[in-house]
Amino acid sequence: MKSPLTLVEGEGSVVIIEREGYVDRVFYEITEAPRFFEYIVRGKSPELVVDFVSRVCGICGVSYTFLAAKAFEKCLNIEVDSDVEEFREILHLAERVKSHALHVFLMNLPEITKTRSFSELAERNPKVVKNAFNIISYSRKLMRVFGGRFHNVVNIKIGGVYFTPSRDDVEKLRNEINGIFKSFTELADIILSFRSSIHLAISKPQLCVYAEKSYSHHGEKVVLDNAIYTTEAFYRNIVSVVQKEYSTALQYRVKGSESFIVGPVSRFNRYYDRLHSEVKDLLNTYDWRPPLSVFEGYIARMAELYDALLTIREYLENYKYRDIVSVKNTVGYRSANNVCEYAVEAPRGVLYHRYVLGKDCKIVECDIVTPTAQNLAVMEDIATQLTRGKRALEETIAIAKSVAIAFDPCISCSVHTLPVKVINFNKRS
Amino acid sequence: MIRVLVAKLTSCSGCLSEVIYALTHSDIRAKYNVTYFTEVLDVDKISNAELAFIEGSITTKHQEEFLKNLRSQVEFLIALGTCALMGGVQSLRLEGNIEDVKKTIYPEPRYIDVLSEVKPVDSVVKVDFAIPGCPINGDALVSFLRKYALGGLPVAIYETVCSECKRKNIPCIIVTQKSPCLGPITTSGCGALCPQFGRGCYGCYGLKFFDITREKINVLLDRLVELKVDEGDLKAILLAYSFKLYSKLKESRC
Repeated sequence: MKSPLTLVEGEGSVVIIEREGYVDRVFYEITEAPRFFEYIVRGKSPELVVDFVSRVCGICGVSYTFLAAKAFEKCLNIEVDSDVEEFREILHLAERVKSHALHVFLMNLPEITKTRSFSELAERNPKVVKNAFNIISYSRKLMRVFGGRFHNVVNIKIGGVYFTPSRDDVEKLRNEINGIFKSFTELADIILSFRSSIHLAISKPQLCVYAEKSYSHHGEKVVLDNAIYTTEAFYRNIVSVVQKEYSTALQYRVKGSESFIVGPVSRFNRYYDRLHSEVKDLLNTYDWRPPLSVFEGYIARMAELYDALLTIREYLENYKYRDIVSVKNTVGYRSANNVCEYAVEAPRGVLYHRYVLGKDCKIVECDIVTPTAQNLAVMEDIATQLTRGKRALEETIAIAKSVAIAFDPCISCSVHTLPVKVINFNKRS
Repeated sequence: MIRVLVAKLTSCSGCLSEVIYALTHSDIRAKYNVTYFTEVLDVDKISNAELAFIEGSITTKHQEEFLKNLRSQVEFLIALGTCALMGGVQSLRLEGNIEDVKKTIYPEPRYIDVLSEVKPVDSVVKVDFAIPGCPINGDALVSFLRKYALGGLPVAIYETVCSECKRKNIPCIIVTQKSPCLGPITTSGCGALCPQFGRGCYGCYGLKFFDITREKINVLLDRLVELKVDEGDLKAILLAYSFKLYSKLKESRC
């Protein structure tokens, strides 16, 4: 049985392998056409690549651009002022607001309320539309002021940024943000009151970017449950890329067998204590605290959305316009180390890039590991766990689709996934 | 209400986010009924409609068939963005042979089923209207939807980014900063976004499609190379965002 996925970004289908009418295995066929980004960046300068990689994903482009800039700064030994760094982090948090708002309000909410679309939900409760669109529109304004536009921002480069907004532009955002908190609280009242009908405690390892003091954001180390690794050690030694016997989709598994989870739930469960106290107070009101399961991912997203808005408000209130000094011209820097790598918590989880530079400082090799590709193995494991042995009917497909939506996959990003061939289990000898 | 389909091919969904932005306007929602948009609607089959928006280029046989089927069910088809109009950044893979490209990245390249070409939408079906950009300008889409609902279409504009700089009193980036800028040969529509931010245009809206020849492009490229821009990088940018046009002009005899 096969059914296209809806309420997710990108193209895929859920495929059920049946044995005599009962579910044996679930997997996700990714029909999204590959764009070969790791090939197209070869032979190009780092400056170009910073803008190119934004095109991998239409929702989390800043994560890609920010990460590429950081990776190249590291290996080209370019130091960035702390003011500039803080500015870029705010732009990245604006993207977290954008992505979580789009996912929770347009994809999660209809799924939770069993409506076919946001429009149908809006007919039942028009205020929901107004509040959700207020937040999405505000995230758009944030991204325009700090990044230039909603997607493919133009304000990140190796060495810093091109432009810092005027006090007037920031003041307009500051004046509006309290209204946004009001919209958020009204939506939170509905969303935080939902309890997912699927109860599944997580027994899978959870991975996120390691953070010394703050909430998980970006860095050179990752933490898998309680073990800390450098990104290089993790992605080259700990994780292996596995090809399943009946499936041609590549998946990432720890030490070749154990699937793991990345995303808001991983971050929330590990770094809950580092959220603003207002976030924890709000969650306590509705009786939410860690550990959350992946089916409660919408709670983690709401918490992160709120936390990001609080951080952004503090920044807007303390904003002092200054001509932020960025490194003006990065041509001519020679790499101290020709391997450039870094990790950023994209909205959907750990994103990792690794570039190798040649003698002419152009890219010779590139590896991009996306959060969705990392979650594919665990998505299949969990969907199979929930449905194995049940009759292969529409309800089973619905459960498998719910698993996909809970993980908020961004299929366009999944550069390493392959189209899958379906094999009817009964035909195998 | 006008029935609308929204479909995605080989692309990143960035232009679809602009469609979502257009739908946040209550007057647009009052006039248009979106009946297919898998990212936000739990509907997986297309049906007859008046309008269709297409994001992305065509790189698989399945997409080709899907698009032809969709075209037969709509009256007016709009191509959105650089991928749909020009092929998109993924066109850069055409610098190499597809079998080599696959082998470079995948351990089992035989399982990758893609066309050797990257096709813009109009090489597969008739396109009635096009909105350029990477991503498109959401306000341009809103303007289109408002005019279309009134029975009209936006006036076609034949300008480059330079015109937008002049209107906004932005001093020329090449002249005052000696920074490279592709504005003189790039289609307008972004509002001179990068020059506003103090950087040169990198041509993401695509080459201007009117009054353009290989010679005119080379005049600008020569000037930019004088400003110490890497020529290989310049050509890569032009192929990435203007593949359909630039690949033809490169070979042309003019």
